[in-house]
Amino acid sequence: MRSDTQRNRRDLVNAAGALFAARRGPINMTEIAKHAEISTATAYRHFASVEDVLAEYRFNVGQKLRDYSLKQTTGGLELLEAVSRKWVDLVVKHGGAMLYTRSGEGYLARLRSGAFYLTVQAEALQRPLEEACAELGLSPLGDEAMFLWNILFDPREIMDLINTVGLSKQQATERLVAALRGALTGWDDDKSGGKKSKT
Amino acid sequence: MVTTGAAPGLRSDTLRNRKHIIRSAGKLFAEGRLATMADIARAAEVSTATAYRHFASVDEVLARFRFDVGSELLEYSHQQQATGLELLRLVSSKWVDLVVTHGRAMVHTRSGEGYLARLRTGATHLTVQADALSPALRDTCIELGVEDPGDEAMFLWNVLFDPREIFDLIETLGLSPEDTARRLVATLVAALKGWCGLNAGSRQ
Repeated sequence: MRSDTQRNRRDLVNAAGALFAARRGPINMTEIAKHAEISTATAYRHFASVEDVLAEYRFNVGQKLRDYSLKQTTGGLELLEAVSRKWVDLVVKHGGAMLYTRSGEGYLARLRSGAFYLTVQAEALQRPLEEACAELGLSPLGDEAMFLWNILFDPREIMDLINTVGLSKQQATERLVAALRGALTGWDDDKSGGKKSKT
Repeated sequence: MVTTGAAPGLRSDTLRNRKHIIRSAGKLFAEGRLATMADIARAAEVSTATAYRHFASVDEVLARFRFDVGSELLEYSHQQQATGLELLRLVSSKWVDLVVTHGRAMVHTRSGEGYLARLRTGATHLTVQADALSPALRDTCIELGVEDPGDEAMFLWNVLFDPREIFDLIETLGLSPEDTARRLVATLVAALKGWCGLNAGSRQ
């Protein structure tokens, strides 16, 4: 890709991020293009829809999470908490643009069909979740663990805990990680026929 | 049974039209179709103008539809003799059944607002659903010996029992509706304990 083409693409993604962070409600491609100082026709050469621009935005945020995760030297539950905390930070920082994509398709269906912004996020969580399950004495849950992480750490729910319940980022992270630990245990327990938990 | 809860004093044919519109929308969306108001009106055998006299938008019809489903859940909940965890299991299973019955009409492409923000501002289909679940959740917390976290318990229930995720478990993981309900209740109970600070560390 030529460098000005690349720059246009990056400008569009950033413009979409800024616009969605600044206000609620639908935003169209013309507004995004205008904010990026690019013609609408050029914008459509890069992206077929506003959804596609937002997907790339989320992919970029997911990459930050993956980079962070891969750099960590800790493991297990400690790593899970660190990566989850980083995610909460990213969500709060990028706010609006993280809230709007919602397809009618379930998370696992999208993940297994390779939705690109979900796979990068799943890569960021893979080792943390695997090791956390091992530390908790659970069987490896694979993408089912990711499913539970994903529904609890949905950006919309994170913003809800912070804005509606009034939790701090740290409190929201701690609560959600605690709920996730429980959820993973309950899930595995039921999956394995309730044999393991009768302590 | 569906409670429409329409404004009192409506003439019976008006009421009937309203019911038909809601039911037709439910049916069209259950089939996975993205229906317009004109499609809904046609299926309900009323004019588009009449449909618009009842509802300002397709979203409003669907909200009403979900409210009616929530009312059905509430009614079921009230009929049960069971309490606590047992009641939670029954009501949650009933919810999974309702979601499966009404299919895609229950899966909403949602607003950017969080669940608690919407619940606390009184979004009707959410409040009726919360009414159906809150006694069971409150008693379950007592049974588990954790402090009742109020609508945060409902928040966790809602996150886990989202119709979209229920379909994901059934269609992608291949769980039966019964297995789905049981799995999600087990997950919820353990998540609640974790949320309320009862994580006992790793299981031995």
